[in-house]
Formats: sequence, C-alpha cells, structure tokens
Amino acid sequence: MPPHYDTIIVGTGFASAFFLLRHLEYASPDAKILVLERGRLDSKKWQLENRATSSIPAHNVFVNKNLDKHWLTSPGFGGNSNCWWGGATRMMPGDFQLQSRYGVGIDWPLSYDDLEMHYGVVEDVMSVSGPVDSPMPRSKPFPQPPHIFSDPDARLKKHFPEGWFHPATTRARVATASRPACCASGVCELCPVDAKFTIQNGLASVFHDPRVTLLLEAPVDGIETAGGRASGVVYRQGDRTVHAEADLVVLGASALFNPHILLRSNIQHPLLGKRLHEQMPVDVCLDLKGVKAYNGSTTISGNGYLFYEGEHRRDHAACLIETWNAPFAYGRNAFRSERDRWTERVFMRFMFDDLPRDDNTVTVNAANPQLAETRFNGYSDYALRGAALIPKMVETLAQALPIEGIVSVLTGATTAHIQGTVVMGDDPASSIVDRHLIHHQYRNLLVLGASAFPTAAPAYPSVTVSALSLWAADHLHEGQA
Amino acid sequence: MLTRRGFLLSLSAGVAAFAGVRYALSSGEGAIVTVLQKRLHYLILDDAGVHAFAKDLAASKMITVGKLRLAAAAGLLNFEPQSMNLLNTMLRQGEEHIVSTYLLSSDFFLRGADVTQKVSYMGFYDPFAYACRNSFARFTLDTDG
Ligand SMILES: Cc1cc2nc3c(=O)[nH]c(=O)nc-3n(C[C@H](O)[C@H](O)[C@H](O)COP(=O)(O)OP(=O)(O)OC[C@H]3O[C@@H](n4cnc5c(N)ncnc54)[C@H](O)[C@@H]3O)c2cc1C
Repeated sequence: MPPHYDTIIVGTGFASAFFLLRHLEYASPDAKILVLERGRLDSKKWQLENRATSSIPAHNVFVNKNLDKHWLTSPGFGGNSNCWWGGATRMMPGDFQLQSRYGVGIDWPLSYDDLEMHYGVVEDVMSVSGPVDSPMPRSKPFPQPPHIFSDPDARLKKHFPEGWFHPATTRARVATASRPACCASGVCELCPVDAKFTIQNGLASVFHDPRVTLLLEAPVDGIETAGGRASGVVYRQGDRTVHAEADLVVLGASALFNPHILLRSNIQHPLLGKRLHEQMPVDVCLDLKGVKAYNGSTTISGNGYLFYEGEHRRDHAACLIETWNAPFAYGRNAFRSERDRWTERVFMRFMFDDLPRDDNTVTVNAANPQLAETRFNGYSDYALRGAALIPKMVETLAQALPIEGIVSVLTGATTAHIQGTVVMGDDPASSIVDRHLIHHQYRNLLVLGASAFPTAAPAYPSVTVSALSLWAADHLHEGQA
Repeated sequence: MLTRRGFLLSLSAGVAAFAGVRYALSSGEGAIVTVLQKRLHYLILDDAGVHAFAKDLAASKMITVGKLRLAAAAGLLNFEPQSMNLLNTMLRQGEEHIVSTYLLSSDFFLRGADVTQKVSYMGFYDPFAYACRNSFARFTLDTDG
C-alpha cells in the first residue's frame, strides 16, 4: 500500500512556502503533510563557495528551443527565491482588469482588493522596504523604511511626485533578525551578504514543522488520478519510483514545471503549457550632464510608474522602470571615461507587460520526458508597440534629468518572471484553474504560482505569487477559521 | 587632380588599411593597455599594474578576442559620444567596458577619485569578494535622498 498523506505539496519556492505557512495554521495537530522537492538544500555557504545558487544545472531540467530568449530556474530548496533580486512590487489594480478597463487582454478572475490584505501579510513576512507614499492603494505601511534614492531618482521624484517611487524590495534597508542590511553589491542573484529575503533565511521554519515531512532530491514525475480526483503523486528517490497518496495535492513547481508535470500526468486542457510569457525588458543607458548616479542605497534604487497605469494601455503595453544603481552588475560599461564625469551615466530597465501568445509554450521533451521544453516565438505586438515608444519616454524623463545622450538601447534576454502556462479563470473552457487556483476538473488539486497569471503585469510577480497562495489556502479552509 | 571626395575616400581607405594591419597584428593585452592609456590619460597609472590588469582581463574572456582586436585596431583614435554610428558606438562601449573594469579593480574610487595620486591595480575585480566595497552608495540621508 502506498503511504497516505493529508496533503502532498510539490516544490519549496514562494508558492509552496506561503501556502504551507497558512495551511499549517488550519491543519490539525496530527495532520500528515509531505513536501517533495526536486533539488538539494544548497546552503548559502555552499552557494557562495561555488558561485551558483543551485547544484543542478538548468539544462538538467529543461531544454530551451530558442536560445535568444532565456528562462531562468534554480532547482533546489527555496526555488528561485535563492536567485531572485528581491523586487517586491505589488501589481496595480488595473493589471487585474485589462479587459474591463482598457478593452485588451483578459481580466483576472479576482481583483486587487481581493489580494490587498494578503499582500500586507507577505510584506510583513518578507520584511519589505518600500516608499512612504505608494503608487497603489495600501491599508498599512511597509514594514521597513524606504531605501535612499540615487541622485537621478531624487530628481525624477521631485519632477514627477506621482510617477517615481522608492523601490518595494526585500533587499533589507535595515537589518532583520536573519538578514543584514543591503550594501548595494549589485550581484543580487547571489547576494554575498544574504540581505534579500529567501525561503532559506526567512521561511524555512514551515518545512520544519513536526507535521511536515520534507523530501529533497525527490522529483515528481506525475499526478495520479482516480474517479475524477487527484489520488496522489509518483516521484523518484534515487533509482526508486515511489507512489504516495493524498487527499489534497498542491503543485508549486513554477510556471515552467507545473504544466510539465500536468502534461506528463495526462491531465489535458487545450491551453495547458501555452501562453508562456513574461515582461519584455529593454535596457536603456543614458549619459547625464552634471548629475552623478549610483549613489542610492540598494541595487535598484527607484521605480518609475510614469508610463504604467492609464488610458495608453488601450493601445500599447504599460511599463515599469527600474533605476540600476550598481556599477558592479555584469561588468558593463558602467563608467564614462571623461575626467570627473565617471558616474554621470544611468542604466534603466524598462519592463513592458505582455499579452500572452498561444504559440509560446512549455511541453514535454520527446527524447527525455523528464525534461520540460520551452519554445518562444516572440512578444505580443502590444508589448512591441510599448517598447517602440522608448525614445518618447526618454524625452519625458529629460524634463527631470539633464540627458546628454542615449548610449544604448538593448532588448534584454529575460526578466526572469515566468508566467501564464496554467491559466486561471472562471470558465473551464478558457482556463485550467479557478480563481482560487483549484483545478476546474480535479477539485482536490491546486496549481499555485505565476503559471496561473492570465496576463503579465509590468510589476515583479513574486509577492503576487505569495499572496495568491495565502488566498488559495484561506479559501480551502473557509469556515474553519 | 584629387577631388575633395577622392581625397576623403583615399584618406578613409588609408585609415582602414592601417586599422586592418593593426587588427591583424594586435594582441588582446596590448589593446587593453592602449585603451587605458588613451582613455585615462589624465591619471597617473602604475605601469606594471596596468599590464597585470590587461593580462587578467584578457584571461577572464569577459571581452571577446574579436572586440579586443577591434579596440586595438582603433588604437589612439578617439570616438566621441556625438558620433553615434554603429562602429563608433561599439568601440566606445567596448573601451568604456575596459575602463570601468579597470577602475573597479583599482584603488581609484576607494581613495576618493583623487587624480593627483598614483592609481594602483588591486587585483581583478570580483563583486562577490568585495561585496560591500561600494564607494558610491549612500546609506544615510543627507538632504532629500
Ligand atoms: C535571476 C532571477 C531574478 C528574479 N528577481 C525577481 C524579483 O526581483 N522580484 C520578483 O518578484 N521575482 C523575481 N524573480 C522571479 C521569482 O523568482 C519567481 O517569480 C518565483 O520564484 C516563483 O515562485 P514559485 O514558488 O512559483 O517557483 P520557484 O521559485 O521556481 O519554485 C519551484 C520549486 O519547485 C521545484 N520543482 C520543480 N519541478 C519539480 C518537480 N518535478 N518535482 C519536485 N520539485 C520540483 C523547484 O526545484 C523549486 O524549488 C526572479 C527570478 C530569477 C531567476
């Protein structure tokens, strides 16, 4: 007889950890919860010694069929929280209502207001630093004070008080019990001082709860179904194939691997694995006259919302701007060479929301079904129309910044914010999970994470991923509280 | 008689041929040294340090051999921001990449960017090893940060 659990959770990233956090509040004292994680526990010490966030190379878990477009993943305990940059912006209210407000894309089946309270909890757990003002409505202040602007940010804020903000970020402004303050190292994917929130440094405790059994190096191959329900999972441990049964199965394996596991389980839907997307990133480098950059207190020192919410979204993509405050990142041409003008240069990343295309996909690799396979044929015209307006946007920024010239405009290979492959919605014909992330067909199967996002907002996804997990867990236990 | 257009054409052909010869003969390390001497002519550079940096940068393969040879071919020619054709832009960015990496690898910014002091190479820049050695970042508010 396979072992039986109340709940089996797949993955240990943001989606699974925040779900477990709330689920444990409701679970009975004798509940049996199994967590299966494909990777190892690569400790911070190991990561720094090996200059890597995972001991499993990405090509061991997926095949990318378009090498111009990158998709980043870091298998292991804590998932991509090990390598994320700690950007913790909420989505804007309009991101949830693209269709009803602007007549494009599709609405999410839930609203900003549905998530507002959960966003607050996530920000507390992550100890997020953020602005005292805010581009979106909030019911409480950020737990940490804001970072310090660079001089270009300060000028932009002065000129566009409603359009420029301190970053919402988990790169700590002040030390927490488990993290030192950020020192603007500029290499946040492997923060040398552990200043950003990760599952390892901030939420590992939920996996140590006595009700939880955590198995590492236990890749899940599929979900088993019987009688219209998910009956359990099949996973590997070493050479062994193991079956485990559960009343509730929760997938939190990311937008790359949730569809991969579902496809391998023969759980079909015409949209499953389609609509792989993320924001379109464009990196703009500007030379300034007489204004010094890089003097903020964290790697990304400002966020521009000037071109985000508004009627322009009817025609072209919204945009969130990041000010890169790190001459150290990637060893680019960070400095000018003219005497006394070394830091009169600013790097900005413009991130445009994308309307997902059905021909961008995650599938199962035919030669080796244990590998996922990504295909990317391009961004939507909507995103491209937005990016085409960069020269105009730079003209607007020039009202606040003495811009001497545009040094370069380069489309980036990734924002590392993978989304959209197990879409949520109210109608089972056009979506795979419902507004509470429950599979339309298998009602004891939850599929968490950004795979459910119907459209990509310009904002970073992970606090929304985490808030959605709390929302899903709350719904599951509604009436029990 | 040589027309103005003919003159310009032969001049650019001459420059191209010269650059071509330099390209063929160039070494990566030599290109790096030339770029630093050209772009940072106003600094007192420690010669041995510059050569050691050039060796380390070439070995790091951060900049491709092709790009280094292009920089070597450009030699002492200066490409200014105003002239934004593709080759100029590429060259300028490549040169500034070398300059940026050198400045980060030196004690220049750590000693307050004092152009009257000799600049010393401290070892190839490693953002992980020197994580909190960011001399630009401000962590306390002065006025309106
Ligand atoms: C370099 C980088 C920078 C980023 N910066 C930011 C940022 O600043 N802000 C932001 O909001 N987001 C950022 N992101 C995105 C962010 O990391 C993701 O949105 C987030 O990690 C998604 O959480 P998740 O739990 O759904 O998936 P993941 O974090 O990917 O976790 C999935 C987990 O499932 C496990 N798993 C996968 N398949 C299986 C299987 N078959 N069996 C068992 N386990 C499995 C994985 O090993 C992993 O532990 C960044 C990402 C990267 C790569």
